[in-house]
Amino acid sequence: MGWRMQKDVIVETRKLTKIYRDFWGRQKKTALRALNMEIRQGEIFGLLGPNGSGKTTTVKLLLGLLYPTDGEAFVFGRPAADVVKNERVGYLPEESYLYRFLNAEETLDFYGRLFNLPPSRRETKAQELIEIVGLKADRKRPLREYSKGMRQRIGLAQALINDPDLVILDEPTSGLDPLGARWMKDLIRDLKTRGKTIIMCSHRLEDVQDVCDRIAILNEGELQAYGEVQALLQDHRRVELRASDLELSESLRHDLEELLRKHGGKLDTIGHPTTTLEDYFLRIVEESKAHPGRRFLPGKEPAGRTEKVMSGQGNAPADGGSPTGLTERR
Amino acid sequence: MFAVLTFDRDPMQIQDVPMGLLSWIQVAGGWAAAGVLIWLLTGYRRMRAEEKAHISPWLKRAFVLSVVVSVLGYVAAGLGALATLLPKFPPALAYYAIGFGFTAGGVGGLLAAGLPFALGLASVRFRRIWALAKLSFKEAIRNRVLYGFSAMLLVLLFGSWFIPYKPEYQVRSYVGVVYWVMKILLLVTAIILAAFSIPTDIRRQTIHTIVTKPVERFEIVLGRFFGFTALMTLVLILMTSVSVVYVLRGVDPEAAAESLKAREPLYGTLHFENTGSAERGTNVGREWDYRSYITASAPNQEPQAAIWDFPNVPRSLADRDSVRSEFGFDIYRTTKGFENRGVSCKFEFQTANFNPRDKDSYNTDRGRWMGKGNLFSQKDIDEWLEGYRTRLSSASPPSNLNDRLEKKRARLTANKMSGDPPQYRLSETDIDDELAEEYGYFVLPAKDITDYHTQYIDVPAGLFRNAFQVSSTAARPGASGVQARVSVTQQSSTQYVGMAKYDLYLRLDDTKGGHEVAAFTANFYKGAFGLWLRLCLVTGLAVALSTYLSGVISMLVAGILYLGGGVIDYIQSIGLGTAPGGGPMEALFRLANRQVALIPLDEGTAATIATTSDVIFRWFIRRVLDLIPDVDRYDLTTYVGEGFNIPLTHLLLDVGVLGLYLLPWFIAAYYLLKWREIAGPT
Repeated sequence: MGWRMQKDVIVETRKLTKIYRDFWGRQKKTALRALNMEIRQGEIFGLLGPNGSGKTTTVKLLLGLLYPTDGEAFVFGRPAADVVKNERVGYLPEESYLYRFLNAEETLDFYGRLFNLPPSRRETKAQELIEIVGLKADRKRPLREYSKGMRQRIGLAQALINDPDLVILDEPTSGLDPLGARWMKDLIRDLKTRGKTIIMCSHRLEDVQDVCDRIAILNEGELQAYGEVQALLQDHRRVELRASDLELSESLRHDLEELLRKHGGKLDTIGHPTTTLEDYFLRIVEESKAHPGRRFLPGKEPAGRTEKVMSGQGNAPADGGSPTGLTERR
Repeated sequence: MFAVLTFDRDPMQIQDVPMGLLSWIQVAGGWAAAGVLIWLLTGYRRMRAEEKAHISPWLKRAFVLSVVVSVLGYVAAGLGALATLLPKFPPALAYYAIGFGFTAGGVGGLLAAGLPFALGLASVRFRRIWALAKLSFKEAIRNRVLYGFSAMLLVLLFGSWFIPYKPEYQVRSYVGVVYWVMKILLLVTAIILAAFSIPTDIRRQTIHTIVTKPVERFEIVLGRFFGFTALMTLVLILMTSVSVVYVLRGVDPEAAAESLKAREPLYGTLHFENTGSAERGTNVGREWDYRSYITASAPNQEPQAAIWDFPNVPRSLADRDSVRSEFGFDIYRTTKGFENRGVSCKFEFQTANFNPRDKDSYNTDRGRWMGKGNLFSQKDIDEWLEGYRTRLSSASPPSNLNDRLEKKRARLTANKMSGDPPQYRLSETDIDDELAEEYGYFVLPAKDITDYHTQYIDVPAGLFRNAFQVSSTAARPGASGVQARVSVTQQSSTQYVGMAKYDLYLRLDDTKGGHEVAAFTANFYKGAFGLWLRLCLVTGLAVALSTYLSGVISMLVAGILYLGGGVIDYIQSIGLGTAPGGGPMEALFRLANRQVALIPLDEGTAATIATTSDVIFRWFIRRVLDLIPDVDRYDLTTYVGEGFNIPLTHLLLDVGVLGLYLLPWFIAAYYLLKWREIAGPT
């Protein structure tokens, strides 16, 4: 075929194009236009884009669920439509579309059979995965009784039943609560440390930023940006500086301005960094686990923290209450 | 009507297989060639260079070769068809070219379409099919599909309140009802399950997690097919077992005598004599012309006779005491006749060794020996043997003459009575048996025939022993190779006795065995096997259709094809143009001109246009006919209900026919699912 794959390239697309047609063969929509990209061994690759940008189409083309209108897609050096490559691929669809009348064990046993796994192997692998995705207590319940998050977990388990080298995750964190999302991201990172290659498709940008090594951004079926997350996000015109054990004061600000001016720069902002809402939320939940019985009392919340930071009044709570506004119930 | 089987068409025999296969190759091959043509015009043109590059070169070559063979075949057939129009061209050669061309075209088409399919089958793995079959099985059970079958309970509990029957028809009525209920419940369930499974998988996108595993798409088709078939098979076995108990429970003795058995009939071929036609007897004006009638001869005329020839009587019949010949004739009365009496018929049984000139001698012998009051002296025995020796030696004596005479003496003297001088006892049956062996002839001069009943004659086995003796003295009657012949004549000129080929038969099973209930039960399961075949038919059909069509449409199409199978004879008559009144254009023409359907059309341009366009219409009807399964052939209810054993060859041939019917559908399903984009634009 005159095509050579670099040794560590797992997925390659060349001018991959998908045009949806109607019954009469008339063009309806160009979902993907001449996509060229490579995904390398052991990386977490993010496909980003707004709804209808072509990221799910790309994934479906890679999986052979759709056939390209033009161009080619190769997975492990084989054409994407070749089912043999599926031996090494795991796929978690956006909504875990699984058979709702099966329970978790039966689901994994069924998918294990599709990989021709021997019975003993299926059994141990299923139990192991049920343990990993935390569904041990619910493993005998039919999936129709599962919540969305639980379905996402069993969906991930079925995607890993064959110990795949390439895991394709379509919106892996959708439907998960922040705890679940964090767990999912940890799991994705863990897969990477075990040498797996991961493609994830998401429009939750913070998730992508958290875990992905490289990303591609699609819009209207066309590739808009492609490369390492760090490199793409780095703003070379600005410099960020962080320091600890410092009181925020006017003199500090003044000195810094002086220093920066000397180097030809300009101070834009100075203040206390905020944490992400995710980190904050997780801390709250952790704390509430550590202190059972504690609850939020209205009127105790700290008001206008950011404002105070900006006005340089320090970060001590104004009313002497808990920094999170939570109070022990006595 | 009575416990005989009626066949609108002769059942398929082993010897019909080559012709059947040939016509299958032509029909299925024609469709395959059409499919390949459509693909070449659409699919191949859209194929990209990258995709073409992945096809192995030898497959390409084989495909091209098959297409070339197919094209050449159809060209030859076309030329042959044109040649029939030439006045000087030998028509036999033209028809040979047409037949050969269609066959070659079909073979080419089948190879072109079947090769990639066969290659695809090589990567199909049983374990994955099994997993998918188990999934289908569980799906149906957990979705509580089986609850529907509890409707069967209604029949079992209350059926006997509503099933009307005369005592002798009880078995038939019950068998008919339980098979009918089983048929409806099973087929409807199977068709719904099969038609909706793959479309639902696609709609709910559950299929995404399957096709992204190393699963060949055709495995999904097979998995669904086997899963649903397995489930329905279990249900069928259960229902059949319950039903057989239901049917057997409290059978009326008359019904048991009529049909609680599994007769193994040996059918002969029927022809008529002195009726003006070998194929038909007298027409009494009954609309259903299945049976032909005979009546008594007019003065100075040879009697009208219905004659069955049995060319292949099995040797085992000679080892019995007697062989039962059963028959059920229809009576058409032009006068009331005698009250409470049937119509008297004469039955003559003869073998190839019987010389019609010996009839008088037979009658003399029979009268003489029957007059002995069952007791024979040594002198009588010697006379009998001497007479036999004389007749055997008159022409060219057989080599084993003395041996035969000794055996006969042993039989005649087997039952020695005490007394002096010794006497030997021979019953009338024994005498008939001996005479039948001697002459190859047995006659029942007057047997009362009543309609609506199966009647029987126990034919002495001596007749069959005679049939297997190498003939040396007698000229063979009629056609060569005939081993036994039954002729029936009738003696009342105002009554007509109607008979068809399958109305008289020899029982191959031993009627004295006493295993009739066991045989009936086994036969009941065989009848259920016919239902099982129909289950496979609708399941396979619906699954195959659902690879392309939506669930509802698949269900409807499969259902319509199945129902079409029920009226296949009528559709055939339209397709072949044998239906009265012609096709739609001719019918319209007749309507417009107010012409009766049976009168030939006057020649004219309009009539020519009408009949010509009907030829095109009939061609399309025949193509539709290709798609319609011959459902009735799998309906074995009458065999069971009337108490006839279902021949194993019948079942085997049915399996073959079903397989050949489903194969093209599965090949089509293979491509449709393979080419189909499983995911939609969203």
